Amino acid sequence: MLFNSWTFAVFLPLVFALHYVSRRAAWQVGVLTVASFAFYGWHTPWLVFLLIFSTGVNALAAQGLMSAHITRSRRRGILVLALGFNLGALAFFKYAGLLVRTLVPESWRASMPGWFAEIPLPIGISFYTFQGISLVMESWRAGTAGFPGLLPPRGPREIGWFHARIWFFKAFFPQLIAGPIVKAGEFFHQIGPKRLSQVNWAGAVRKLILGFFLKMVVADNLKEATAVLSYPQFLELPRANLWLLLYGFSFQIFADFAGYSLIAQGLARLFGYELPLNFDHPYLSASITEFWRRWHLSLSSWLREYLYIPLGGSRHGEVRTYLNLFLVMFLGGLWHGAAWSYAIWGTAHGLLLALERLTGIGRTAPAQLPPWRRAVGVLVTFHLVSLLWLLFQLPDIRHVAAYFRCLLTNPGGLLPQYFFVIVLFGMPVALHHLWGATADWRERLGPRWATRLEIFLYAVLLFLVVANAGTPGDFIYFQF
Amino acid sequence: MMRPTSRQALAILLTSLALALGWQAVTAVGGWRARFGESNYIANRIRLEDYLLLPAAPRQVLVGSSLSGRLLPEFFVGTALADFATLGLDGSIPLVGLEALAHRPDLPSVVFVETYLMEKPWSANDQVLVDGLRSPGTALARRVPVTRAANRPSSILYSAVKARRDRAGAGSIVTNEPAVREPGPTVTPAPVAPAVVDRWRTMLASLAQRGVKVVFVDLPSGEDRMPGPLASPDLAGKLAGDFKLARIDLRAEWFSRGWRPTYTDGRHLDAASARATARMLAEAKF
Repeated sequence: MLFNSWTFAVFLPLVFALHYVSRRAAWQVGVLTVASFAFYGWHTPWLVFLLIFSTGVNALAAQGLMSAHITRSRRRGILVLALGFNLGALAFFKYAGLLVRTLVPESWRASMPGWFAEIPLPIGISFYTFQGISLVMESWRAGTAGFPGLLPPRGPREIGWFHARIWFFKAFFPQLIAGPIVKAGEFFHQIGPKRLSQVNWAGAVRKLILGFFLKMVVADNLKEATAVLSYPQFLELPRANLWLLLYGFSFQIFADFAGYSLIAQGLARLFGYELPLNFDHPYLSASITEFWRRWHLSLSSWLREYLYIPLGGSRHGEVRTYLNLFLVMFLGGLWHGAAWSYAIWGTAHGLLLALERLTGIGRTAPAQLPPWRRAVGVLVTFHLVSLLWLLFQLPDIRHVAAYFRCLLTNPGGLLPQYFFVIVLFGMPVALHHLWGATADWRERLGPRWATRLEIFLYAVLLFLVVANAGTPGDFIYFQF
Repeated sequence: MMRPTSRQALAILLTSLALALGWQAVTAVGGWRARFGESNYIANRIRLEDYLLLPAAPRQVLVGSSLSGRLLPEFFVGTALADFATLGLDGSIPLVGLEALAHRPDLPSVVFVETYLMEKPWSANDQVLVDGLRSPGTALARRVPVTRAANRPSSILYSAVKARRDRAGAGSIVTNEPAVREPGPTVTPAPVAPAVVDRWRTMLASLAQRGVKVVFVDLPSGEDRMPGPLASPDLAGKLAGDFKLARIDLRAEWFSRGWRPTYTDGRHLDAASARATARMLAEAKF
């Protein structure tokens, strides 16, 4: 089910009303869990079985890892099996086709069953698998002591509640399909009875309005223009348009993904939960290092905690640090999709991070940079990031090379329709970043005027969601 | 007593409602409405909603792609096709326009079907449009003007910019060019997927059953001389034969007069040529 669908417009009030019918946490968790499975399987019911299986295995693993009655070696075995299950499921559904295409000679592939190379990618698997790994890792680290919100069950009644909360954590619909990726330690302590009178309405409404605005007004209006960023459509376009389309796609991918994350946060708030921040005005970054502290924060944080640090982080010398950095960015790139273009995208970011580390570019705190240096940094970083987004649209590296050539050589001026669409619908992304950069100035207005200004601006955004939405459709990150 | 957080949320909703009502009033009083969309989807929504909001179905409707979209209803004023509507949908196949006809209780008596994209299979974009027609959004647009595509602030702005640009660059028809009468080489029609043929047959049978007369129309689509003969009947030819339908070749009409149409982008007729094409269609016998 899509957040921007009419079905969801019926689903949400229904679930909201049912959730607050009772003040008992068990009822509320039950309603949200059942609703989440319905949400997930709405268009493709068989996917629910996969989610049930994944959740069941992770719940049993968590229970085993917290149990006081098993030996240390058995705990280690459970950890290895649970991680193997999660990574294996991800590898099978996401990368089997890629591995077959890459490793198996074409002559052998002909004799393999056709479905093997065309395994359908279950929507959201990358996100809920990472949440499953987080649960297993937290349970392993916590052991018999448990962690806030999830203590080892003592007795049959507690076992039921223990599992119910894990099923809820894995399936909670606002973040199920495209994040933010919630770590177990960030969520379980929030589970408890929720009251309607405690809902942070202003906070939820703001997140929802901004999220729907970014998705439905910005991203959905840009996507038809940026659809020509595909081979061979772009070959004949004048270079000025190719630059414009590059910026347009940067704005679109931000608006689409940040929009989804904000809607997820707003929805979670309606039910009394806080999801982690996923974007912090990433195009204000003056370096790639800073960019990764502002873009898809829940993934960066997950990779740092469960991959970079366990690999040794920066604790084992310079060479090992660079190696870890590369590996994390390579795998982070591959996480986005089963194509080598994503791995190249991640590796290129890894290279730039290494270069910045080597030259010390990313080390200076952004606030300490002189304004001109920051402005240049923002401009350069935005262009680097935008050029690398091309790999998301053009999976064939030869097509990317052709695009670069056309960027420099194609004659001709701006086509008015592209110019109109990209400037008009890209502007809100620029203004959104400007809003982030002027927080100090707004504070000087005083709380009363700042609130009035915000109310007016959010009202304008909501009006535009109703009056100026673009072509409806999926979110870009659903494919990951 | 309402909490401050609830008060703020309510203030946002009420201010937004006031903005929507204000915009509705401004567009109604000022007569502002978009004629063009800044994307294919929006342009198509404007045309579809305009058609669905007409008090009664026009007697003649032209369905097709963006080629047909250039033949504006006002070009037919004072002709035999005075009660005319265009459902030329950008980037879409004529079947989408035909599907849209069924979303009104009344039907036109004559439907002109552009032949240009007839062989093209149903695409994801076509499906988005048809889904949109069936969605509550279309029902809402009938009742709440602010949700109509023609009232979108960005499309109104785009229409104003485009109209100004089009006025500046209006072309003129070049006449008396005997060379354009020379036919080009023989054309071999591309093979058509059986599913596409079946879909057309079902649609035409349904229209015939409901008493709608269908006429195929070939519109200029970038040609600068008389098109060559077909090596074998194309899809429109086969269907016209099977269902006993008329076919009007306006490309041949242009070039047989020694005229050459002018295009905005090498494929779409400019305003002057579109107006002339509309007259030719109105004068045609079918």
